[in-house]
Formats: sequence, structure tokens, C-alpha cells
Amino acid sequence: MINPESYRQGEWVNIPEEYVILKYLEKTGLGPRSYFVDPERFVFPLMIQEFIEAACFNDLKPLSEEHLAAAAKAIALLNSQGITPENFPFRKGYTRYSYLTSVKTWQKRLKEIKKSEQPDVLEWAQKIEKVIDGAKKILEKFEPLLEKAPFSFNFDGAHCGNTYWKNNKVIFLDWQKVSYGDPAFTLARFLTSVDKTGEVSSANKELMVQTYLKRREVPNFAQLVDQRLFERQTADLVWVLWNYVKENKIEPVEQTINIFPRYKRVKKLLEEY
Amino acid sequence: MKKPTIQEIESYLKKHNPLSLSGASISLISEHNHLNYRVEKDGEVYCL
Repeated sequence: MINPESYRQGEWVNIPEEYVILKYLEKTGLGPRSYFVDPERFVFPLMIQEFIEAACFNDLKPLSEEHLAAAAKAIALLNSQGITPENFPFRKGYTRYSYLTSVKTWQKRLKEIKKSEQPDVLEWAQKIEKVIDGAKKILEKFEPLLEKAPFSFNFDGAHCGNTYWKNNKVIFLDWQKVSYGDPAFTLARFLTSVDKTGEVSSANKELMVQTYLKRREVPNFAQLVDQRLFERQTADLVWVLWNYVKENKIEPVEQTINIFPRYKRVKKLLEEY
Repeated sequence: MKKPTIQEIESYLKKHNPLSLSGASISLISEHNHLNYRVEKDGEVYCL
């Protein structure tokens, strides 16, 4: 069931919707089997699903080529599933036909960050505001390629913490964040979680892109991945500060979250683009 | 809203008996975005 104490609980699919998604995916083995859902007889909607005993990718780091290739294959299979806005009601903001959807989310988060009274948070908010302005201009230039892309079903929670290794196969858990649109989204999401600072190695990216393309043909896929990685790395920079504020932390920002390496990387990307 | 207690879940399982899980043992396994419980009865294990 959704954690009613989570400050993010209103953002995602609800339990009956998650049940529908897991039933749809059952034949792929990409998620746990779901056996039962009760939307209303308990105080919260609940679902009973398969109990998965597997190793979390976070515990398998550094990830081997075998793990990365298996994740790329799983993501290609996931992206090929016929779950679309026509047959599944995606949350507003979880259809990704344009990068500007993300910019709106960053601006909303920045507004919430600025409510903080901590001087170091406000200092970082100023820096991030400039980054968002710069990133928006770059993302506008990226739009034409995304508009031509074959849209796909995505699992937005496909980071290493939700990716598990069972019988030499990848299985994803915690399916509360799904979306529709950019075919590069899930792969980029995964790649930014391989290193804890969000750094993406060229070798890992190349391996995963090439493995993906053997399973699923997407024109300009490598470029779409680069574009989405830029968007995700900017998104993650905004998110770490927003999450710090939402969790009511009071320790100095730079000592508590990995904000500086993320900021440095995005600044570098802004200069390159 | 507050998280449900194990006792509330036990009462639910007893009353509605989904998958014949009335009387199952329940333990909390994670509590991030989802609350996940391990539910076991007669050697069968599920995640709730």
C-alpha cells in the first residue's frame, strides 16, 4: 500500500492502477506477480503480490557488464509494451511528449525550495534558478528530435534501488511511477543511478545503448539518451535540494546532500551545449 | 494520515480472508513510498 505518511504520496499511480500495470506486465517477468487488490475495504487500498527474494542492484555495485546489459534488455522490453494513454490513465506530468514538462516541475520545486528560511538553501536556490533558465533554452533546441521519437511506456522508478537481480534476470519493484513518452527516459533514469553522484560513464552508456538497440530499434536513440541524460541530471540537481527541504533537514546543505558534484556537472554540460 | 498497524491488517485478513490469508503472520519489510509487509501462512509467502 502507499505510505500515507510520505510527502510524495499524491504524485503517483494509486494501488488499483499499479495492479493494472503489474497484471499487464505479468507475461514479461519485469515486475512481481500481483494476485489481489482491494481498493476500498481497508483503510487504504491494498494489493497482495509475489514476494520477491532477489539482490538489489545497489548491493551489487560496482555493476558488471552482465548486469548493465541485462538492465538494458529489460528496459527495451518494458519500453515495447503497449501501455499507452489510450488504455491507461497516466498522471498529469507523466506524459513526456516535451522536455518542457520537466521544466515546469523544476520551477514548481524551486518555488517550494524558496520557502525555506535557511541561508545556504536560498543561496543554492539562486544558483539553481540560473541553471534552470539555461537548461530550458537548451531543452527547447532538443524538442524536434523528441517530437519525432516513437513514444514508449516508461518506468520512472527504474533506478538501481528498485532494480533487482533474480536468476540472472532483472526484475523491477515499486511500480508507483510510470509514464508515457520519450523512449530514452527509463534508460537515462537507470544510468544516472549507477553512480551515487549521478555521474554517467561513457562506457556504461555505450554498452547499454548498444544492447538496447539490439532488442529494439529506435531512430536517433543515442542522441535521445544524451538529451534525456542532460534533462535528468538537471532534474536530479533540483530534486536533491527540494528533497532536502521537504525532509526538513537542518544540517549544512553541502555536507548533507551530493549537490556540489551535480551542480558542477550540469554547469559543464550547459557550457558544452 | 497515520500508517496502519499490524493489528489492523490482521483484522482485515481475518474478516475478508483474501487468498485464504486469515491468521497469517505479518511483518513490516519496508516503509518508503510504499509500505511493504511480508505475509506468511502455511509456507506460502506474499508481499502486501
